[in-house]
Amino acid sequence: MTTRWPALIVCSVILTGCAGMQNPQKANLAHCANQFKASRAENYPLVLQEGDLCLQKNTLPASLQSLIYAVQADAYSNLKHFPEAVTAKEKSMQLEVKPDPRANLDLSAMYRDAGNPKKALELVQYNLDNGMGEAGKGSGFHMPTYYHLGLALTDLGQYREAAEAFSTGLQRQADYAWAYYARGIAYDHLGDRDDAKADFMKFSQIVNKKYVQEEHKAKLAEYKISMP
Amino acid sequence: MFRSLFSGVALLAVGAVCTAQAQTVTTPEQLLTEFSRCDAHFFESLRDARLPAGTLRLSDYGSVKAPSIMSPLQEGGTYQHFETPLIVNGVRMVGYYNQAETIKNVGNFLFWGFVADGSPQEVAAKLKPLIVDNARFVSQGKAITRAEIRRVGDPIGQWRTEGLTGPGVATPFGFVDRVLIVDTGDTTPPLAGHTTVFCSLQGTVTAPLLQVYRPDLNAHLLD
Repeated sequence: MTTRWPALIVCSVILTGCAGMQNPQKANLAHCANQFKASRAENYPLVLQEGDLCLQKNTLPASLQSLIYAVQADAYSNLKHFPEAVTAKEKSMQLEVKPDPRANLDLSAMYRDAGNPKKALELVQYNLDNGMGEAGKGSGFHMPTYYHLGLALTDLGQYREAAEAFSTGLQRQADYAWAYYARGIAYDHLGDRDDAKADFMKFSQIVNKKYVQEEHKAKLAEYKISMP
Repeated sequence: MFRSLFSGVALLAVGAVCTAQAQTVTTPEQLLTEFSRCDAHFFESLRDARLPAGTLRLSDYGSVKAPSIMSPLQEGGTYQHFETPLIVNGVRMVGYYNQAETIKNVGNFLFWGFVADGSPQEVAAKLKPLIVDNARFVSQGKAITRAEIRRVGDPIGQWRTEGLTGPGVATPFGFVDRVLIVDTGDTTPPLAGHTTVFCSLQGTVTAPLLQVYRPDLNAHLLD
């Protein structure tokens, strides 16, 4: 998602500038700019409303339509409307000029949220089969790919393979706290409490506490680990 | 009726599997067959194996046994010389070797297996009938190998026999090569002048994988 923000900001500036003009057709672009602003403000219902108006009232180039749908998909995800998130994301991807491996990973996450881990796994495997690393074809695979692979495998109950995927990601990025948490969950399911505890401990030491939720704290508490 | 028939067949199948697992290794040839799988079977079979006296000295490692060595990570501590050679289908096995190491930016490497007298071709020819899936045990240069590869995320027991890495090529990140290899020993002792009958795991070898394939090791030894 982070790579999309510069594009969003640029689009927002352009669209805001156009919307300020006295041409009614261009004024319709205000809805597009408003969608981006609402997204930054985390006002997700407004994101959806303005996004729909933006798409209805304008004839946008495919790349911009793709961006609008991608922002819609994020908003649906945040509102926990997962099937709608999947639909919007797929529309966004169909409109993309070239395949985006990161978009496949985002879609994989949405399919997991929507309760379809099999499809989520297929999407990550598609990237792996086709050499589509996070930064493009042939760029190699890093934490994001193995993290999403591990999460899909976890949801499918393939805990050993999931733990292996997280371990592989950690060889690339040893400071990604959430991979330790996710591997801890996989070990926990495997009944390997020693390794689970070691991972939960590491997670508690390096995670940004801002993102830790009650469910995570409850799991740590099972292992008598409290956040420092 | 069909259900009871099916249940009966299923029970027979389960029984057959249990019998196969429970079978105690009583000959060096049976042991070599278990070893040739390059997985946990070898170490599990050593738990109850009845082998000729004075050959392998074994130690307990968790729930399994393995030939005793000082440490797979320590140079000079990776080898056990057998007081009495273990004769396997006419091949004199004179020792056991077990090494693990990490090579930065390349991956993890584990080698374990027997050190034999004789040339690689002679040793391979005598052992081939005992080797599991021996149709794939073929000459590759001066060595005789049976190779397979696994991508991270594949089912843990599933190995691919297509798209292999090939000799002299580093295993790509995210893959593990598993090779049974009969080859000329290293030029330095204790392998010099011998033939090695090794299993290897190379590449992205992680603790969750080692827990399955090498129960004799601390799975985190290469973390």
